[in-house]
Amino acid sequence: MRVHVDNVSFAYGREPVVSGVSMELPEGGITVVIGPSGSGKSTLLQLLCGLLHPLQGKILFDDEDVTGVPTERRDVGVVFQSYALFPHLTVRENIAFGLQTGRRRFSLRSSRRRPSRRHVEERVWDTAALLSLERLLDRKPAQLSGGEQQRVALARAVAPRPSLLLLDEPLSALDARLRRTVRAELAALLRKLGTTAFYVTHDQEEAMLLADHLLVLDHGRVVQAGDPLDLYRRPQTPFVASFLGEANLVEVEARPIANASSVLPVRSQTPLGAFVLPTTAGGGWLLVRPEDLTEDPCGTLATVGDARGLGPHDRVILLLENGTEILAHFPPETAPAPGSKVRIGVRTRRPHFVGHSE
Amino acid sequence: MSTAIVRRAGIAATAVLALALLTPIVVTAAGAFSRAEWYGRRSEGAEVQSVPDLFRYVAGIWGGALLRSVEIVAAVVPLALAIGAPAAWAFRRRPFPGSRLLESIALVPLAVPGVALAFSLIQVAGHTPRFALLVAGHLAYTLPMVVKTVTNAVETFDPRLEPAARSLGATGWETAKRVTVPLLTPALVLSALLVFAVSWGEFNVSFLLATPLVQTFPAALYVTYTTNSFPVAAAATLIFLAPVVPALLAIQALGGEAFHRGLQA
Amino acid sequence: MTRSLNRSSATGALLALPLLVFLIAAVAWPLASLAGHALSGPGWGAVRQVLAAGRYRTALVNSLGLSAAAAFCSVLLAVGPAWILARERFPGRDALRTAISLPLTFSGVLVGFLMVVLMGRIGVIPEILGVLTGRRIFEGAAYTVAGLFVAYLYFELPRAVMTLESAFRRFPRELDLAARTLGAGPLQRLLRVGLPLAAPALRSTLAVTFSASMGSFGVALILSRRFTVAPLEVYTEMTGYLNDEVAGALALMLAFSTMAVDRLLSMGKR
Repeated sequence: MRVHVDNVSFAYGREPVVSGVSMELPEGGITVVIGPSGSGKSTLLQLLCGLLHPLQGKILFDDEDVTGVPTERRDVGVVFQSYALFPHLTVRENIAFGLQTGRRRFSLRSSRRRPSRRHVEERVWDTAALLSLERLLDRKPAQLSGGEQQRVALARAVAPRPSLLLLDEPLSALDARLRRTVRAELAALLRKLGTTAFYVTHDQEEAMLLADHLLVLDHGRVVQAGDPLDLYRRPQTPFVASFLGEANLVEVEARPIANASSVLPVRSQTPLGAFVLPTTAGGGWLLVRPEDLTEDPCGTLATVGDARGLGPHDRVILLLENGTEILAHFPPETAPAPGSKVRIGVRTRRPHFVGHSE
Repeated sequence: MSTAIVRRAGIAATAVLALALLTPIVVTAAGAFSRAEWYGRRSEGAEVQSVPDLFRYVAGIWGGALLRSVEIVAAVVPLALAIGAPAAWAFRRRPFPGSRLLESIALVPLAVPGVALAFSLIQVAGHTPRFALLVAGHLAYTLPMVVKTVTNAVETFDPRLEPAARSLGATGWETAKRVTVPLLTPALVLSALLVFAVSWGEFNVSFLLATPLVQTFPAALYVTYTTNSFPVAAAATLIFLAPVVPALLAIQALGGEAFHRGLQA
Repeated sequence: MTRSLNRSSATGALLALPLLVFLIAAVAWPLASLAGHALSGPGWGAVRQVLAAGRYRTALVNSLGLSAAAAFCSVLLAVGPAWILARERFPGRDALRTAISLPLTFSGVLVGFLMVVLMGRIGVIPEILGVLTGRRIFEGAAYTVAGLFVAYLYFELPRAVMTLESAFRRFPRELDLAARTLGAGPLQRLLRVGLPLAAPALRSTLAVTFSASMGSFGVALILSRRFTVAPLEVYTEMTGYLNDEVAGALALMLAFSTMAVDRLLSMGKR
């Protein structure tokens, strides 16, 4: 199902929570929304599933306006952060719940009568098998571990095969190690099901791993949207740059030319060397990711501040001559000693430039 | 079934219920303030000709009972708090073997019909002054509320606050005075209101334990209902309700859950 | 560690001591003594007498039957309003809640009086109906069994609604939301999520309303004419006939049956 959100806003009383958000969820793809706490991500999710109604704007499922449709009649499945499993029902009954409500899809194109008992049992079994829950079907949620509960929550949401799956930070209640395993399984499952998915998280790694389409939200507005790698390599604001990973933003001065109508990039001098930069009136930053830096005999001189081996790479803090601090990732066990001087360079010839916003 | 329709029907039903419950009260109030000739003849004679007269009449005859009720409430409220609150705190913060049992036993009196308790009290302690027995009976039905309210409140505040105070050098008394009691004040106020409301309206035990000398106002109400005319009875009812309604509003504002066990019919 | 545990327990026990003393002196001992007196004598003494005699048995049975019926009906009627008050937001909600909880402060005597006001011989309802239809319907209805039953309902409903409402309020809101996302309408949510989760609360509300009805004395004093209930009999035996033995036995049976049902209903709850 394609989902189109058109200029949607929501506020609690006077406080705007979501302002003028528009987005397209590609059919069958995973759209991830990432942002700091309070950025409105969960609210956006609640607007999509109908628990909240936007004050302004429209939401379209496959070109049909569902803005006023109550949750019960939308063809969505939701995985809550707290799982919200029914404590008085077994795993089997939890999973079957959405199949027994006889909900009619909002879209009149495909009417669905209440499925037969056998059909329900089959579907429950199939879904449980997808998530390796067969052994747990007769247990109650209180008897399950966190990871198992999370799988049940997923199974329950997915059993009716909804056209849109909404996931609200589903992994945040798990510990780090479990999160990594479950994350990969979740990604595989979502792709296998091919359901359009909308995934909310604040974890950048999760976002990069899962997203077919990524949106960065801040204070209720979409700051940037697109392909995840694209956002990583070419962020449009310092906020996006630092949110999606470690970023060195090196201040670069404006270099206006006499005839300012020209937009030809110009080779300019920066604290990290000479690069080809677009001309702007306002100046901006050079984005240099820690993994882009390397020892370079022809590079700029820098003093090593702190060096620490983290295992997969060494984390080195360098001080440039003009006092700027730079974070670099060196291959494991190659970090120079603190206090020593090294020459560093940037791997690419055209590092990304982030302009000051107008 | 559409959500909106069910919701509206539910709200309507609730409103109907509220109306049904309020109607008798409104009618009673109207009765007290009307000349009520359409309610039948009055039996009190010429002295009662106006609304203020009504209330003066009631106060004149039943002033003693009113006073007695006030005295009892004045005794029961502090006693209930003094006995119930420390125990409630102890159940949650200083449990001891049998504390869970004691806590559930404290709620048992609510399942004992007032008549039975009153009777057994007379049997067992017939020589004790009636006032004391009355207080005891009232306490039996109000202590559960104090225990419930205070235990709920103790559960909601951070159990590390008191040890924190101790670690800063406060003695037991100081901790109680400067940490525990302030934190529990809303619950204590609520308990006091609850005890007041229940004790003020208590009838079953009070009626059975009543003597001509020691009568509570609800017992007096009964007499007006059976002997006096409607306007007088209505006026007495209003006098009875006057302190209790504000108490109830305050209880609602403070969220009194323990109240729902309340009085016995 | 053990020492501080002991000190802590000792403090606790000390603080709870007055409560324990009170319960023993003012509740346990009198009731035990009651039981002792009533059960002493040949063949369970007065208790047997009570069970054998028609009038007392009738009174007990009436109490049990009426209380049970009133308890069930009030809980049934209370579920809807309790759910609405707990889960829905609408203007005037607080006013409605206050209005419904007002009668909680009324003792039975007052409720009896209010019923007479409504449906006694010159009650409001007969008057109005008389004016409207020319016939005096429901005249004196307050004094019938039906009237007594309605009085019990009037007494129980606020109790039932408020107890259930606080139980419903404690439901994690997300369960309701989850049910909605799975396509459940309001009725389905009530039946498949709300009520099952509320079962313990329903049981305890039943216990509360039943106990309150069983203890009903004030209402019965005012309203019952030919229909007698146990507390009334205790009273008349005690004051009218000065028949302490019988009164005691009756009181014991009354107390016992109430407590038994109360315990039964509370079992299975934490």
